Formats: sequence, C-alpha cells, structure tokens
Amino acid sequence: MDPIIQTIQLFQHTLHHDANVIKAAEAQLQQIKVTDGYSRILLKILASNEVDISIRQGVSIFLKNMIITKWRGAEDESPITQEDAEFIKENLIDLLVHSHHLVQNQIEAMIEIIANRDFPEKWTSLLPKSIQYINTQDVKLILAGLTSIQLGIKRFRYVTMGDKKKELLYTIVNEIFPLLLQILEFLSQHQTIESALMQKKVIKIFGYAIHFEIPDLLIQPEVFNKWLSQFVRIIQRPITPQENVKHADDCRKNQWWLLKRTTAKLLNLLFRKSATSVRSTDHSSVKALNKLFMPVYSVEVMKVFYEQLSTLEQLYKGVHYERYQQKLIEYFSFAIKYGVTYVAMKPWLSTLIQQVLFPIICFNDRDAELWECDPNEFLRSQFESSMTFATARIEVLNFIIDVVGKRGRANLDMIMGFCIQSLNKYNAATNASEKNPREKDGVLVIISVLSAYLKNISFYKSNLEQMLLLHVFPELSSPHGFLKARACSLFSEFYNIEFTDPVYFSNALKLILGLMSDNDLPVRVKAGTSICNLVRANQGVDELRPILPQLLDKIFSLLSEAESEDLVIAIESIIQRFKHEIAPYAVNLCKNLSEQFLRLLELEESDESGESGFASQECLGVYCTLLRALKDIPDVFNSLEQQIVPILQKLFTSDHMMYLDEALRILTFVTYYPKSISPLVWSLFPQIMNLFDECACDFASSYVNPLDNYISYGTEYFLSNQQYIEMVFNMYKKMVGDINQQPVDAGDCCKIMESLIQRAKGRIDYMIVPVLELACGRLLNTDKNNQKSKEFTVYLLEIIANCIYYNPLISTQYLESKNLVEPIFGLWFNRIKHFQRFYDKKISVLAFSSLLTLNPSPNFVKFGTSLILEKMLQFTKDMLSIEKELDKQEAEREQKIKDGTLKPEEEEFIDENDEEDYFDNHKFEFEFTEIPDNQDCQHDDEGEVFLDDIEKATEYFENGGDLGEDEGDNFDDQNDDDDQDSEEDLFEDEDTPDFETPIDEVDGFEFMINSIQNFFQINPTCIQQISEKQQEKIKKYVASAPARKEKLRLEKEKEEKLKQQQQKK
Amino acid sequence: MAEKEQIKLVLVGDGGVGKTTFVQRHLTGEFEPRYIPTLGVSVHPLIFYTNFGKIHFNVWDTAGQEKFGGLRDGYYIQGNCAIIMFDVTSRISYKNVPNWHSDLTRVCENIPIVLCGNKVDVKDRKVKPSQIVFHRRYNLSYYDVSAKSNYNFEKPFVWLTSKLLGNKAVTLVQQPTLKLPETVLDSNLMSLYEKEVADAAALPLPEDNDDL
Repeated sequence: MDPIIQTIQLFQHTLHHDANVIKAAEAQLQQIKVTDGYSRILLKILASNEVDISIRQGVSIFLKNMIITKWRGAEDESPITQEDAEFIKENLIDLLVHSHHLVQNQIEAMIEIIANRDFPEKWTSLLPKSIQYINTQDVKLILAGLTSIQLGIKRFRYVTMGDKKKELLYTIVNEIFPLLLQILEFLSQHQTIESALMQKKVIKIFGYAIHFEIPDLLIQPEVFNKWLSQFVRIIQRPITPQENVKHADDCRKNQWWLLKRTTAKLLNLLFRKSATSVRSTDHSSVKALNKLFMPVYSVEVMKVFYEQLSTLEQLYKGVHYERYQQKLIEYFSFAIKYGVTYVAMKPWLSTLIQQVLFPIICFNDRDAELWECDPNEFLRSQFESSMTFATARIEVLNFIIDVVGKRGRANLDMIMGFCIQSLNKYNAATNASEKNPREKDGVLVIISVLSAYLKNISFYKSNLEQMLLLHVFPELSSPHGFLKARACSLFSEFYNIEFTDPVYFSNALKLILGLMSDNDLPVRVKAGTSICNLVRANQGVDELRPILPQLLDKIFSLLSEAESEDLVIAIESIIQRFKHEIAPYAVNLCKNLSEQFLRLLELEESDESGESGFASQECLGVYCTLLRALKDIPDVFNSLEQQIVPILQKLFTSDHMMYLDEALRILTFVTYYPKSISPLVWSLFPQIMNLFDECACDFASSYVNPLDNYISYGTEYFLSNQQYIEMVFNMYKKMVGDINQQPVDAGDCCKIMESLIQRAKGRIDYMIVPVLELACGRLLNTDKNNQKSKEFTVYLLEIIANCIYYNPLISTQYLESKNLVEPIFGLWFNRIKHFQRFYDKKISVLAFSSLLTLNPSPNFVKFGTSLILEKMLQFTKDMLSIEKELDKQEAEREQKIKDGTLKPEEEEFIDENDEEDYFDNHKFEFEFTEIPDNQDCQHDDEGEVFLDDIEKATEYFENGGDLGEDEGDNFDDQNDDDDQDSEEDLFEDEDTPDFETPIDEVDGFEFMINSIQNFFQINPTCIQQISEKQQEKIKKYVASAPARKEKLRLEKEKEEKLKQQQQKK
Repeated sequence: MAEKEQIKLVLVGDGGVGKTTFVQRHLTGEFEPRYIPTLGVSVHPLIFYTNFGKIHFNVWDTAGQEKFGGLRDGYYIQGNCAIIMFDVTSRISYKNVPNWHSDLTRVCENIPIVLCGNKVDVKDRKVKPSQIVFHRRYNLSYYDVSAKSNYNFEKPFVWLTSKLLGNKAVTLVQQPTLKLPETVLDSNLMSLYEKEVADAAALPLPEDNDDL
C-alpha cells in the first residue's frame, strides 16, 4: 500500500472511539516510523490541505514528538536521519505559511525545538528565508517570517555576558532590527488583527534581544528613540469598540490587548534594567541605557501610563485587560523608588490613589459572583500575593505599601485622611442607598495593610479604639456578608490595642463567635481565623476559656468545609494557649474520638456504595493536632497512647490501606515525642513490617520517620531482637534488590537502613556485606529496566559510605575482593555535585576519612590519595561555608535578641505566629526614614530582580543549553513571562532532615584532620602525590583545628546551659 | 448539545497524580491504592444525569509518564473539554500544570478546562490552596478533589457540562454510580463535644447578635 495512504488510514484509526483500534494503529505507527524517510511522508501529508484536519493534526503532533526525541533527547534513539533532519529544516517554514492554524501551532513548536539546538549555526536557512518573507507584501508570508525569527531568537533570552553566543545574537540584531523597525512603522498604518499580531511578534523579538543585555545597535540614541516612539504609539492607540471583546475574560485572546500588554511589559523591563544598572560590573551598553532612559524617557513613559490608567475604566466600560492594567501599575510601584520619577509622580499622587487605584481594590461584581457561586475560590482569591501571579489588586496594595514605606509619613497621612473621610461619609449618610459598602470594604483593606504603622505611631494608635467602635464593630452585624468577613479580619488585626472598657472587646468577641455559624462560608472562615489572633490577647484567653470545647468543635467543623491553613493555625494557637486547660479534656476527647472513628469505619465498611472515608480521615487529623499540642505534657501523652494504639492496630491491616499514611504519621508522633518506646507501641512494630512486606511498598516514604524513631529511641530493645533487625533488612532487600522497584521508594528504604547502620555501630558486622552487596548490585546494574534517579544514586552511595564509616576494614575487603573499588568510587566521584545537602557531604567526608585510618592502607587508597583528598577537601570546604552561614544567621539572631527586636526562643514559642511582635511593643514609636523626594531610595532588593534570570541562565547552560522537557514554553504567546524551568536542585521535595543521628556528635572536620595525619604517618611517601596547594590547605586546616575545637566546646556548653535553664522553668 | 452526543473529555497530568484512580472510582466504586501506570490511553465512558438530560462523557485517561506515552498529545485531538490534574502532595506535579495546559491548548483551542488538585485527603499537603493560582490566569475552574473519598468528584463534570451547554445552571438529578460524601463528622463531633460541655457546665455559645 502507498505509505501515504496507509499513514492517513492509521491516523484515522487513532481517532477511533474503540481503544483496541487505537492500540493497533499505534503499534503499527511505532513500527513504520523507523522506516527511512518517514518524516518526509509525514511532511507531505501536512502539506496537503485536502486531508481531514484532525488527521493532519495527528500527523503534526506525531512528527513533533519525533522531533522532540531527535532534538531534545538521545539522538541515536531517533529514527530521523541526518538527511531527513535537513529536509525538515528546509521545509518547516514554508509549511508554516499555508497550514491550518491548528497545524501551525505544532509547526511552531517544532521550529522552536529545533532552533533551540540548531539556530543559527546549524540552521542557516532560517534567517535568510524569514527575511525574504518579511520583505514581501504578503501578510501570510510576513507573519511566518516574523514567527520564525521570534522562535529562533527566543533561545537568546538567557545569554550571559562575554558569551560567544552574544556575538551571534548581535550579528542577527544588526541584520534584522532595522527591518523590524520599518515593519513596525509600516504596520502602524494598518488596523487589522493581523497587524496587531505582527506588531506583537516584533515587540517580543525586541524583548528577547534585550532580556539579558542590550545590544549596542539599540542603544544608539536615534535608534532607541525611534523604537520608543513606536512603543508609546502602541500604548496610546485606543482599542475601538469594534476591536474590543464583549467580556473582560476574553481580553486575553484579543490581539490588540495582548499587543498592549506585551509592550507595557517591555517598557517595564526597560525601566527596571536602566534604573538598576548601577553596578560596576554591568555591561557598558546597560550603563548607556541608564543614561539614555532615566533622565527623560522614564518620566515620559510614566505620563503615558498615567493617562492610560486613568482613562481605562471610562474608555472601555469595564471591558479591559486586567493584566495590562497590572503592568501599568507595576511601573508606578517601581517608580516610587527613583527620585526622577517620584518627583514627577508626586503632583498626581493623591488623584492616582483616590480616583484610579482605590476603585480597583473595592469589592466588585466578580467578587460577588465568586462569593455566591464558589466561596472556596473566593477565599483563595483574597489578596494572597504570590510570586507567580500578580493581579491588579495585589499590585495596588504593593503600591500603597511602598509609597508609604519608602516615601514616608506625608503619604501615610494623605492616604489615611482619605480613608477617614470616606468612613465618616459612610456613617453620616442617613439613607442606606447613599452608603457604598463596596467602597467601605476597600477602605478597610487599606487600613488593614497599613496596620503595622497605625499601631506604632502615637497619633493613629490613640485613635484606633474609636475607629474600631465607630466603623468596624458595627459591621460585625452588617447586612453585607463581605463586610462582616472584613470586620472580623480587621478586629483580629488590631487585637492587642488597649480598650478603655473591656466590654467592647467581649461584645465584639461574642459577635465573632456567633459569626462562626454564619450562613456564608467566607464569613464563617474569617470569623474562625480571627480567633487565632484573639486568643493571643489576655482578655480573649479569659473569655474563651469556658467555651473552649465548643470553640474547638466549631473550628474543626469549619475545617472540613474549607481548606484553610489559617484555620489550622487557629486551632494550634488555641491548643497552645490553653495547653493545660485542654489536657484534662484530651484523654476523654481522644477516647470519644476513637469511638467515633471506629463507628465511622464500621459504617463505611458496611456501606456497599463506597461511602466516603473523608469523615474518618478528619478524625485522624484531629489526633495529629492534639498529639502535637500535648507533646510537652508526658503524662497526658502516655495516656493518649492507650487510646490510640488499639486504633492503629486496627488500621495497620491490608483492608485499611487508605488510612495508612495518616496512621503512620500518628505512629511517628507516638514514637518521637516521648523519646522512648513503650512496650505497647513496640507491639505495633512487627505488624507494620509485615504489612509492608504484604502490600505497602508504595508507602515507603511514610515508613521512614516511624522506623527511624523505633531504631533511634528504642535502640537497645531493637537490637536485642534479632527478628526485628531481619525485618528491616528484608525491607531493604525487597526494595533495593529488585530493579523494578521505584527509586523513590527504594531510596526511602536506604534512609532506614542508614539509620540502623549508624545506631548499631559495631554490633551488626555480619550484615555489612549483604547490605553492600545489594547497594552495589543496584548501582551497577545496567539492565535498561533498572529504575534509577539522581537522588536514589546518592542514597545508595551513602549506604556504601555508611558501611565504610561503620567498619572500613570489612567494607574495603568486600569491595576489593569483588573488584568493585573502581566502579563504585568512579561513580561516587562522578556524582559529587549531586551531594548537595550538608549531610551528604559530611557522610562522604567521614567515609573517606575512615579509609585513611586503615593500617596498613589498602592499595587503592595509597594510589588514589590525591583524588580522595581532593574530594574530601572540596566537601570540607563546602561544609565549612555552610557552617559559617549558619553561624552568621545565629549571630544575627542573637544580636536581634540583644536589640530586643526578637525574643529568645522559649518566649518565641508561645508567640510563634506573632510576626509583628516588635511592632506591638507599646513603647515603640515608629519613625520613617525620610529621604528627599528627588533622591533614589536605598537599593534594598533590586538585585533580586535579575537573580531569577541569572539562576535560570545557569540552569539553562548546565542543561547543555537545552530546554528542559518540562519547560513551560507556550506558543500561544500569552504567557511566556513565567516559563517554568526544569528543577535542578535535588531533594527538593525532601522535608528538612531533622533526624538526630549519632553522627551529629562527630565533628567531620576533626575526624578528617586526624585521619589525614594518621595516614601520612603510616604512608609518608604518599605526601608526594598531592599538590602543594593541597598540602598547604591541609596545613591550614590542621592549624585551625584547636581553635575550632574550642569553639565547638563553648557552643556545646552554651547549649547545655540553655537546656538546664529550660528544664528549671 | 444533543442528548445523544458523546463528549470527549481529555484527562491529563503528571504520572501518579491519580488520574486513573479518579475515573475508576466512578466505574467500580473502589479505590485503587496501588499505582499501575497507564499505557498510552484508556477510554472510560462516564454517564451523568442532569437537569438537561443524560450527559455521556468519554474520558480519555492519558499516560502521565513519559515512557508510557503512546501518542501523548495526539490523544487530545477532537477533545471537547479537559481536566488537568495534579497531586497536592507533590509540588512538581503542580509546577508541570502549565506544560500540560500549553500542550492541551495547542491542540484544542478554546475548550473548557478544569484544574483539579487530587489527594486533598492526605493531611500533609504540599501545594497549599493559596499557592494554586494557575487557573485564574486562564479562567479555568479549580476544584480540590480526592479520589480516595469521592470528595468533589462530580464538580468538574458539572462545571464542564454547564460550560459546554453555554453557562447554564446544571445540576445532577440523580447520582448514578457513586454517593457523595456526607459531612458526617460535623454533626457527630458536635454532639460528642456537646456531651463534654454539659459535664463542664460551660457557657452556651451566643447565637444572636447583641448590639454593642
């Protein structure tokens, strides 16, 4: 059969509704795709506009996925030959011109993937062909030309200075930018959608070219001026009613709005780049940009933006693009910091805030809709600022915070004047129709974000009570739900002001308790979370004590309605505050919970319909919260054990796997906090191990903590039970010994094994060889089904490190006898950069040092001295710098305690959520650092603006300049401002390891120095193997050892003292 | 939309976030605690009875794992709507949502899409509600779901149906294959606490709004 017809048929089948037909077609495609020149057949089908669009789409996706393998993955696995690859490159751009837009989407993806690796050096035709297209009069051709250039140049976003690639980029810029400017000027005469799209592409190309540095060509004053006039023209061009969309949500699909936003974003980038380029290391062109842009253009652009912002609402009647608006405001937030822009902004400031920005934060129709239809989403959407997502509203609040924080008291007074006036007007209105509750909400939001200042400036502080009484407390019984919710938040914001009459506080508190049963979910939740602060006030504690159980009950039930961290915090602060009051309830509460839980469990089991297990899950969650809170009261804790263990016994069975995570978490608590393991708790050990063996392999990660606790806090009992040791070993064997087990789960079993090896030092010699055998076996297994990951490799190597540290003789004898020295150490040295955590470095240093202690030294150590020392020194250096950083943080913390801005730990504990502590000090009077308007603010965090870029760039090059597979590049041009680059940091999802291990007590540094000295005593000739530099380094370390020892001793003494003090308390 | 018409729903997301478990929950009423990766795609018919009649979804459950990919985004063709799922206990699965979204919208422009965070039953959630913002940028709808407990199971389907029918108020008229979770906990716990309270002779909660 003709391969084209056959292919079309197969793709037809892939769209079939019957999975078997699909599978058969797929299988055939997999076979056929490796035939020579198959990609050409696919291209031919794509070129034929007669073939059904869905089939062409399928073909284009198939080809794209082939291209991904070829250009991103291992090339030799790809069926595309070099000849085919050239053919594809020659034809893609032509194909882009006339294809259906759904096929175009895929072709654009293909161009980007190929260009990312090949452009410009290995794809020489892209640029001339694009230029040729752009020079025609045909819209389709011009568009294809611009698209290709945009996708080609995209890879230059992250070009670091001095890189050769910069030269490539500048050559391209010199060649095409005059042409692009012409196009842009030409397009200004054309008011079609295509024109908007093409202009946007030109702007994007400009953005890519200046993302890191600014090419010399563009910084020539007359060239820069011409470009800037175009940008301003685009911003100023109104969108006609015909061009505009009907609903604001659709703006993101409208080319005119997208063009404006892309341009506004570019102008922000130019402003940030020029304003922050004050470092001596900056490239000369960036400094030139500063001279060129800051004095005049920065203000000119701001004026244009101001006009846009202030006419947006009136011009488009609510149908405008919020993300465009947000970009406009962002410019102002940034402009606050610079003298030249701030002076220019000042005359408009009050109008800007009151008329333009204020309406944006008021409760609006969209809020109302969410409040009604999706109250959970409403709660989520409340001003939680996020790095990845800024709304216009968040931007306004940032502006207000900065304009006060950076430019001082006068602005605070101006804004508060406006707020107070507005509140008074609201109260003075006799007629309900004259009151605007939505505006009042906006005013209260402003007061809330400025609360830190208000509480610490006498003038405002003295008026806060009045403000609450007149404007906030009445809204606790407002007919408007959103004002009730707002009033709750505001009261909790000002929980610790002094009231002239305690009855004010109690009345308001009573109302809030009532609101916890309000009809609207957001009100209930806000009332619940406000309790979190209110229990911090002494009066709150006293008044809430009698109704404690009901209070907890309410909050727990709210929790089941709305996921809210704040509510969990509220529960925790209550339990924290009422620790001793809760204790008497706790045992009973726990008992009832257990009954309740078992009842629910039974109910669920008898219910054939698959009744939800959510309620019973909730019960288990309550246990966790209780246990955590009561951890300091051992008596209570022990009696809780009696209640909980029977439940756990029931849950650690194969019928209740859905509770396993939660049950293991509870087990973690009962094995951790008492620091010893009771016989009752030990009775669970064999049960969980059998369960693991039976069916719980997937839960390895949840096993790590409880097992580590068993081994660490019950070491003696554990080791006296041969059977238990075997169970742990078998778990390790099952997971590490089987190459099909997932690296994540097997890695977790390594952690457990590590814990055992460290705790049982010198007592499980017989196990070392089998443990090593399994680890080496898995590491060196070349079967293609062997499941690996970077992290897992590190864990396995650390098993070997631990064995060496446990007993270097047994370990090296084994490794040598099996000829494993070279492959294992080779791998280890190769993966040094994956040993990222302090622990990874330390265990490696300990292992290497242990090798040096052997007498006589094994041959491989003698011959490899230089290499081993090199790695040791590298790790040691890393460790010392981490320690130094920690010391620095500690010193800073102590200094803060001294200054009184931070409380020492034990007090901190109670108020651990009280971030504003130092603001709330009654004697504290806040004073602004006033700087003249025409001067720039301190550069505090500007550096951070580019940190992200630099990080991304580093990552990009470390990946060999490839787009990670998971990079969020979008071809629909709407959102490449938040490209998600692949994660290079390992152990990202690890919890910070807070395991206590015996090696915590060992100073790796001292151990290393001693073993090095020891080694050179045994093998004096080996010293010749190492470089002078290394020798010097070692000398330096040796010399510093006594001082370090003394320092550690002092630290330990201090710690002991602190511990004793705490115990006394 | 004609009653007989079947709707192609594409279900995407990282491997292991619980896509298959989620659809199977509907069919068998059983929770699959072990993870069996999907090869390529499997198609599940799901039927809902709404106030607008019978709605027949064909859910294309696609492989999340690279190596079991099959045609990958080739399965999205002719999709009428989609669910992007991530696992709230895995940050990386949320970080990958933009990738799934762009792959999806490159093939199916302008289809209604729901974002779902699965495994909310696990207490130790890593992706907090306040961090979930992706859906707002593209006007998707977002739901916390739990394949383990049926929590919010029907929500994504109801929302998609209403979008496909043109923003009509859609409700289910019968729950054919699974019962919705009831908030059993609240009332029971409440009564439990109340018993406690009687013993403690505590003050009753003020229910009415006193004036100040």
